[in-house]
Amino acid sequence: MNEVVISVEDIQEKDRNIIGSKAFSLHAVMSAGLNIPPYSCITTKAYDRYLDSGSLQGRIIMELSRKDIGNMRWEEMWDTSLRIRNIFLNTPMPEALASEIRKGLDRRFTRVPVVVRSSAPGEDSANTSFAGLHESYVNIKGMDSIIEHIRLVWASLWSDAAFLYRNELGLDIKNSTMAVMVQELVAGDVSGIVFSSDPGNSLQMVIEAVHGLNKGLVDGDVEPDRWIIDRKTGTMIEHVSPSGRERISGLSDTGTVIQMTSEEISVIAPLNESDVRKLREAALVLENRFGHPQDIEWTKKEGEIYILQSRPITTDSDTEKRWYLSLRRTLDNLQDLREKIEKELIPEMIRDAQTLRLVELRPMDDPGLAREIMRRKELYEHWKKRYADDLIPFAHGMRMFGQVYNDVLKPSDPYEFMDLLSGSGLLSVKRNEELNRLAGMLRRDGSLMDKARSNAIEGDFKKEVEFFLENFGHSGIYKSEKELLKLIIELASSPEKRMPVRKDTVGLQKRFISAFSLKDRAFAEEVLDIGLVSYRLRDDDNIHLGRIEEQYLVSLREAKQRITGRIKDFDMGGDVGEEELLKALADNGYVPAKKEKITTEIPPDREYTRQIRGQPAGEGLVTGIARVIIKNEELFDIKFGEVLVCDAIDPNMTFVIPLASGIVERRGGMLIHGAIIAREYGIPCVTGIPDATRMIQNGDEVTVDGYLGIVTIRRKSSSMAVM
Amino acid sequence: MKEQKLAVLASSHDDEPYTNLVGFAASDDLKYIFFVTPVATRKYSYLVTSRKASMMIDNRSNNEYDFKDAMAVNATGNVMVVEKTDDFKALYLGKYPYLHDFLLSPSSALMKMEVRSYIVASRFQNVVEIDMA
Repeated sequence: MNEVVISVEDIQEKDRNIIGSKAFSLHAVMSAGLNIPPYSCITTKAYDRYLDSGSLQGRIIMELSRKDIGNMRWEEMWDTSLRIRNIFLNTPMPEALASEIRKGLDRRFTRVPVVVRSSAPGEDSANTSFAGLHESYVNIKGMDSIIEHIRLVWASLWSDAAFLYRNELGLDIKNSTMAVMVQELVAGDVSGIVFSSDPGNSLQMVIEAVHGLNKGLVDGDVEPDRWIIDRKTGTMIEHVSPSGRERISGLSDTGTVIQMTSEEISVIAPLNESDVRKLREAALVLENRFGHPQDIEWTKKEGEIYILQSRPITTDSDTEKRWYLSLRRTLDNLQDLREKIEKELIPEMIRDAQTLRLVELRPMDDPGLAREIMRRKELYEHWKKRYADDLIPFAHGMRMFGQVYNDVLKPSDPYEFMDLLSGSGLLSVKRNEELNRLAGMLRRDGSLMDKARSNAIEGDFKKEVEFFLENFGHSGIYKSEKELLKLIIELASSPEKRMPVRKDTVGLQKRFISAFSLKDRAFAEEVLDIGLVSYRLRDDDNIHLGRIEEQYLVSLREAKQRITGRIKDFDMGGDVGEEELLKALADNGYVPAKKEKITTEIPPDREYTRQIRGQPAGEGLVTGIARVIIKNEELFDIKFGEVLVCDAIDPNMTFVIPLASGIVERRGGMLIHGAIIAREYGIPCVTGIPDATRMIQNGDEVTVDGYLGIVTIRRKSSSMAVM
Repeated sequence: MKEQKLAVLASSHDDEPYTNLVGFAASDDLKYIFFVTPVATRKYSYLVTSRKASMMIDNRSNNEYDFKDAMAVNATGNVMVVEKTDDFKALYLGKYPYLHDFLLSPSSALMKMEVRSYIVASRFQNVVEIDMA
């Protein structure tokens, strides 16, 4: 027998650990007398042999050693997963192994389209069943493509979702492995899922069904019909029709595609009573067979029902993990989201910010101002929620484009795709170019520079500054013309003008499109378009949100000004919270309490971190003096050539980037704002440095190695800093 | 020399010794030992100032048997930065294929130790010196 391929008929109990849970369960489904599509298993021995060949194992270890996964943010998990996936993409399968797999599959799968599915050992036990952690590929044709997709399924052992559930899965380089199922594709007329026991009501069963393939339903692109059934009697309790049945998931030349249904089909429910009855019976058989309520995927073709997968129902109570998994969107879903963001959300955000800006606060009495503060706060909170619900998920467009780019071009740098997205006219870059223009005016005119230094600007330059504040200043960070001038003077005094790096993005984009066959180029263009829009909006939407936040902060500043004016010798500073301000607005005699000052604990002199590894987020190597940003207003203190050290950059803060020689950020990831803007300007950047603003102090000499993701710190005064 | 993954590299600065663990690859004739370091490190800075260095390669396994079985090789010589030529890259990556990105990074340097002598210690206190000059 071939040790790396086992066909379904030959599966025995002893094979359980080498074929994985999904493959083993489906064999049990067949043994229970139900239809399944024929399949063969590529055993874990194949994965282990692949890992042992070449440098794969060592390279994965190097990636995993970068940082403890437990300390990674989701973005960093995605980055780690992307890098590991790229290693798999660029490591061919040893010919001897590929040949054994070909031989084992040959008889059955040479001429039919197949599904290449993950089947990780232990993945679907009653305690650990989490859908969507590993990849499956539908409608794969030909042996070479099957072999390539087996590698992609292996790579998905290290998916970002798997990292998220690493504790539950026991994910570990020494012990984790992956089997793969190569299964004949049954292109059903109708497909769906069954929950043999409704997680919300154990007396009921839930059946969902759509016309066409299951993929549309599983990915959330096609809304299903839903039947609620009494488990015991089989009585139909309710049939809930979808809002429409106009979409259907069907087969394209390779893979699947969402299509429009014909009018005749769209008016028919996908299942009749007899189908519902058969599915209920099958679900009870499987529940009985496995001794646990089952989550079953099925399809129906030419009247026959086929079980595609059966796994125990588990409910994951971790809402954060579920939210993260919900970020993984399909192209159709992202295109719908784009429409909503561009046509509804952004115009609404702009309108709300403008409306607030036109409201005069001065004439309001104190209770009126208090109401206005609360109104602005609510509006800001409302937009923060919309941001989390709709705008953050849209950032997945960049990731999707990156994955497609890497799959097709297999570049050695897994972030090469970012070069196709940069230079797409970010609002923050336009703002920085405008700042540069203002700095240029000062540079050319010495007397104007003198006036700016003494805060006595007038005439055209003053108008220009006011115009800038009107357009870009409402971001929650610039509080006054004085602060803005300080920044422009520093830019004008800098020895060089730092401009965004211009890349041949058009040429790179053409190269990407031409890597696809003619019939797939429309898809390539759509994915690129979503990537570009996602890249731009990821930055721009923060600027819009910042403008709404600014209006809330303006109302707080008005309250502070009033209260300071009426209490003798009271210095408000920035330390009084909203609650105290509202109390003081309601009671003329109330003296607001100041917030306790948060003191930053400085690490003792005898021990300090000299070198630390994070994520390489912007290529380059630079040494400079650290400018550590604890409060936003400190951004205005940065001097040309300093290394910006901060907790998390958002686009409202990136106006200082043209002054910085490097960036170190606590928040990690390649697609975060700091990394994006660093790449735009070609500035070395390392992200994901834990406690960056505590470990590094103002004035320390810092080397940012953006190639390897290493930050080296030399204390400005320490007996330990010999070098 | 071929099997051990890490060696202890000793350099010095202002009369202060300084040691690190490094991945290394020796040439077939054992005249040269190669290793890679980021350029922002102390060891890089020390080695470009004072080229003298020594390197200890051993096979201890951190148990009592080490006193009988462990062997330590001490290489002494001068270190210099060398270009990452195809030959040198092949030698280093042949042993550490997974350090590909580390070696090729513009922020790392490939260092070559020209070995003057080896001192081989075994069975607790047996010491043999090999002159490579």
